Amino acid sequence: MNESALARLRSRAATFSGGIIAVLAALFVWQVVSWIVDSNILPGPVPVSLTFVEQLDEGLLGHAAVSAYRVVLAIAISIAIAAPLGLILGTNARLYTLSAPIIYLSYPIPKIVALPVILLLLGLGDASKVTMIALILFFQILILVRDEVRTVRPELVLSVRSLGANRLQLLRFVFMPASLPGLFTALRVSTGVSIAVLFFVESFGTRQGLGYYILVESWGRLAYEEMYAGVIAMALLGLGVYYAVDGIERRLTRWNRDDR
Amino acid sequence: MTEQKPIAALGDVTFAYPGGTAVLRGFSWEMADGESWAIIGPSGCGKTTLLYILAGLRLPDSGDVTIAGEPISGPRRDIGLILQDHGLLPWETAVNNVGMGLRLRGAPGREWRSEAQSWLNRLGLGEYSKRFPGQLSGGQKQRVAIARTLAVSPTLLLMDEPFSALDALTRESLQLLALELGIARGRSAVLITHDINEAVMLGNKILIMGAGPDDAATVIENPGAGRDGFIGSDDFRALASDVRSRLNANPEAAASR
Repeated sequence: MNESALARLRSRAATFSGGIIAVLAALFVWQVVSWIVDSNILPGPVPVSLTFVEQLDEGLLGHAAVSAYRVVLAIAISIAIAAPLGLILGTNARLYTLSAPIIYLSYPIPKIVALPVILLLLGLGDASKVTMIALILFFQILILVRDEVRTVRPELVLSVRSLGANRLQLLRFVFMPASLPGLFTALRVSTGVSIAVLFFVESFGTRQGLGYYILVESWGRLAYEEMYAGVIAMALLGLGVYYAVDGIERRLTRWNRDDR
Repeated sequence: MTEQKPIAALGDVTFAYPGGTAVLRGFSWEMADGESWAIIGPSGCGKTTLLYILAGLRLPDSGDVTIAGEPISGPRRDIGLILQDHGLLPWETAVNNVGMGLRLRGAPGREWRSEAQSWLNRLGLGEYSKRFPGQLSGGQKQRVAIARTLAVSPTLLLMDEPFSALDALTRESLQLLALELGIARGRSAVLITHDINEAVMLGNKILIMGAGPDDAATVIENPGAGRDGFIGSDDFRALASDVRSRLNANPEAAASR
């Protein structure tokens, strides 16, 4: 018990120091490139960091909060729709066969082409932005949850059925927990894409969010230091989402850890 | 043996997997309450299918299956099933796995937890209750699976090669545990096995199945099973060699184990 706690502490310390080294290395490269470019288009990390801290008070924090709200809401909506659908398709052979061509036909289409339609239907506000991101996450979650559910060994299903489980209980006790690793993999894979898309959809029809801050408020008036401060905020938002996904996954899939 | 209503009976049962030939054809068999049957036979002879039919997990193409006098239509709560692959849920701790049957029946949390814990204690796994199956050895997992099945107090216990994936020492200790839990001593059970000694040790009746659906099955009475001092005795060895020769009489018999 004590030893494993110590080991966990050690591995956390290793992760933390690894993170610091990575950040320092990135800052170093940034500084060197900015010296080479030697232009106000790429200010070094020091002035940008100062601007970042100063801008937090002057609205950057608010923009980041709005962006975070949109991403988190999109993630929640896409899980709420795609995960149950994936469970159903993964446990029903007929629906699986019927749906597979439809999914594979629509999955490769860049979802951004749906943007005009979404804007037409949902307007310029938050609803269309959140929907756009949720649509991208939707397919990743649907496919990974569906496939993860299909890998459940028949012995598990038989033994739980023999204990008296009905179909709903099988979903609750067998298929749902079995799908969690797939769900989290989907979230990890698509977090980066969803933040990149967020940046794009925030460049119009809004006066809030990091996309607006970077593209309109900073770049639009050639305020490069502020623009990079916005980029840092966006990177930190992505980092926050990744860590949150990892943290929740660790909590919910303790059984799936390597140290078993 | 006294006359009594059979706890399980198959009448003229035929079963084929979709697109395959029949595994069982016109198969009839019955067992009385309190009997413990060991079923042995070559791979692919339909032993596991027979067990799944008794468990209500497969329905026969034709014929009657009755449990305690009632025709079977699906899994029953009074039947417990133990598989070779323990079938524990990897995401549930040992105590949650053992309590699963009671949870599915809507027992309140405190009740199923304490019941599950007491079964773990009884099977010598008390301190492992918070572990996940991935953190247990093969023998421990199979013990948890046994506890999970017994926790719902089934009147008929069905076991599909429950010990065959374990190493020799662990297998032996679990076979002794099975005796302790009443197999061959009045608990109604059906044990599918490949292991001749296990069949003789745990079955008061031994059913030897033929390789194909049309080969006749043989029943051997084994009244000594479950008695103290029977294991390793001359009677035990004589019966084991009898079973072995009957299995070998069929050239298709599984690579004579």
